[in-house]
Amino acid sequence: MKYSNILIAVSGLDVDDEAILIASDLAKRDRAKLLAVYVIEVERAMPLDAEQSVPIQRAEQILARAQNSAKRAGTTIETDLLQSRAAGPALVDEARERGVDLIIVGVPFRKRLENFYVGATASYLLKNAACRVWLCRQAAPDDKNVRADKK
Amino acid sequence: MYIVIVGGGKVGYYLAKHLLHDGHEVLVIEKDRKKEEALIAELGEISLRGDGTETWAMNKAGLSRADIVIAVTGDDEDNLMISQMAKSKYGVRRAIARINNPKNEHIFRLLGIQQTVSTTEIILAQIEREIPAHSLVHLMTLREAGAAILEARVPEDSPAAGKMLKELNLPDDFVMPLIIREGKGIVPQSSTLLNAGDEVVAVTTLQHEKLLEEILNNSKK
Amino acid sequence: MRVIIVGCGRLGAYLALALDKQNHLVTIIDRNSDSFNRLDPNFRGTMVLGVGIDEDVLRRAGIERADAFIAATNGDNTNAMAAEIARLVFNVPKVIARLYDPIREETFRAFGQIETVCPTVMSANKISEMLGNSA
Repeated sequence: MKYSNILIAVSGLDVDDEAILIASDLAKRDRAKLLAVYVIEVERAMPLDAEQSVPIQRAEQILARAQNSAKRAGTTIETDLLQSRAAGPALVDEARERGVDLIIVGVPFRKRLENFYVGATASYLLKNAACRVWLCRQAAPDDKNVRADKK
Repeated sequence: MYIVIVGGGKVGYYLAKHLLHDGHEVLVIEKDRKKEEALIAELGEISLRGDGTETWAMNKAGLSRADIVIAVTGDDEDNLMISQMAKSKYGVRRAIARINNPKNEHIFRLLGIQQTVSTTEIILAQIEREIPAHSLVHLMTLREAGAAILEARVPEDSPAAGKMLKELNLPDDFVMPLIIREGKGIVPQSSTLLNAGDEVVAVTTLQHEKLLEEILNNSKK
Repeated sequence: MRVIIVGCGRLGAYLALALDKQNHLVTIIDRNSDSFNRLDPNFRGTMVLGVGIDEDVLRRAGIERADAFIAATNGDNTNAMAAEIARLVFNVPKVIARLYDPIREETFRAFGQIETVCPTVMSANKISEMLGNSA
């Protein structure tokens, strides 16, 4: 399988770096273009085009970090900031418009009511994206590698 | 405009579809998971799952930003609560409430909810695609605005069947924004043909309220 | 006093019996006849089967002559609507609604026409107070 346009959905978690590392390897192998996308989810209490300085600042930091990660991995990455009511549909639309053939999304290891919970955005992507979707799940908190990392 | 609809049943669904088509920002609050998922599948991410009479849902919906709140659940007490909360707590200027039991209409008026959608058992049954006793259904009368929203089925032998909308010579204050054909909503253009069995929704001033029935049943044109 | 209670749940039934013992003329309305089993066999008041937000049911229960009206069903919205009908349509002098949701209670209290009781707030305050005393 060869990829030409890879979208990495970033959320500001450490796992973003891993997702970008994987994407960078693929990009080098296939000469694929990379695109990091962050979606600001706007609450219904505000109009969709509301300009909220705090979330925008945060989004820009997250995208800058994505660019740095890609640089360290020896590739370049384009970034895109979207604003939507829900991240899932915005990412699916963006992927369609840009002719993306692979979405990579990092998901945290989190539990809700004792069960692992993949999160609304990742599960929306899995259900609705037309292209391939890879999940990159963060290591579980009691994973030995994580402890080793911390030393 | 930002319009919040509480209740994602048939009435809420068609209303949302129509208002979205008109370019409004629409949110439907529906507590039933299955109904809410159906709304998302049909209309996109325009819904919020929750009890629309609960304040957390109203806050999440951003009710204080809403221009209109339309309460169309199956329970009058819920619709009343929603309308009153919308007006008094969230400062929403216009609240429209569906009335399921016609006995409650004057109560709603006494309580300051001027705009009501009368859906008696009979009317509801007609919307549910039963054979209508009368061909004309009054979906909504916006008394203050002097306008009415009507629904009717095109009879088998209707002189309007097979005609284009523009051939019906409708006056300017009479529009047909929606045709329901085989369960699907169509937003017609002037060249759209009317079929027998179609359900049409018309918006008109009170002056031309009777016109729909004339066109569909005993058109002189 | 002629008192109408809507909802023969735990609160409605308990209140009906208490008021009956104080020799008030009590009429209690519930849409489910089984609910009346909660009443003591010695209850001397009247039981009316029907929905508490239906004007005809309320008339049958004698609301036009009532001195007080208490809405105590399990539904906040039903209680609010029943209370508003009692106050604004039938002009019952004293109308009290039980509302579980503190925010709804606050909103309705602000209308000024109806008195409200919020068991959630009352219980929470009482419990905090009890915890405070034991600290």
